[in-house]
Amino acid sequence: MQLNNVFRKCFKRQDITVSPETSAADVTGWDSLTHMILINDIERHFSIKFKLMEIMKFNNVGDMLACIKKKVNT
Amino acid sequence: MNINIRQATEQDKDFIMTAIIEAEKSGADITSYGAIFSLSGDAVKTLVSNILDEGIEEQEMYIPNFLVAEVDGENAAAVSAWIEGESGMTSNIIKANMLAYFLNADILEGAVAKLGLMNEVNISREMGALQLECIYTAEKFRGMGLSGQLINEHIKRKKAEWLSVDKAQIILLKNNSSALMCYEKVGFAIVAEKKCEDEAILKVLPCDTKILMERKLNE
Repeated sequence: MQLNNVFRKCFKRQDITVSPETSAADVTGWDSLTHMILINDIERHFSIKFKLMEIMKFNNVGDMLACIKKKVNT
Repeated sequence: MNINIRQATEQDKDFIMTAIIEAEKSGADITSYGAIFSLSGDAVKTLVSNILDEGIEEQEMYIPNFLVAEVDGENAAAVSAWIEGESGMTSNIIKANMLAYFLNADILEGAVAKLGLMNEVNISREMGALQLECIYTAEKFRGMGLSGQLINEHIKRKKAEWLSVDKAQIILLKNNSSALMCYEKVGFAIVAEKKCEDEAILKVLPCDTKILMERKLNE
């Protein structure tokens, strides 16, 4: 999944593999700092821009994926 | 002298912006947002204004979270309060979402090293605890105990609304001795501190240590 590559680059770790159920509590180092960078990296990688209320509804990677797919397919 | 405490409204936006920005400065010449993201004073004002306009709850920059103290009809002091993690998301992540949205990629990337330093002094807020932030009194009204009155009123209102809330927390810089004394007067005590050992933190914050103060609400 492309998102795994984005996570690995953002967290500077190759051992990260995310699933739709993955949330911040599951990934060591996923704090507010890395969260900002992650959102930015995802936007750049997929050439999209999230709306603020979309970002606020991201409870897990699955929520991110659904939003990314919707934007990429538009 | 007539003191009136009330919830802030949209009409108070300018005063609330002053409260947020001046409280953020913690005695320095610039805000931590300005120092971390290399933003001018005007850019910080624009950022704070945009965040307030979004109306995002569960963090300090939400107008209805503020109580305002008026003295003889003039806005004199303000304090923001919320219950941490009410919807399951921490206020830090909520603010990170807003900063990621409003600040462009270049600004965020330029701030990575400084944000790393800020992480060294970051104290986690307890989920379910009442958080008090942006505690501000306009200079000519200082010494009247207005911040303490606002804090006590927030506690009274939140306890009436949230029967389970049993703790209030304030996070501040260790060198803010006047604020520390003010909070001790209304029953807060220091319970934790975090220090950044890297001197570079002093280019971002006026002090290298943050402290967490708490007050138990069911005693």
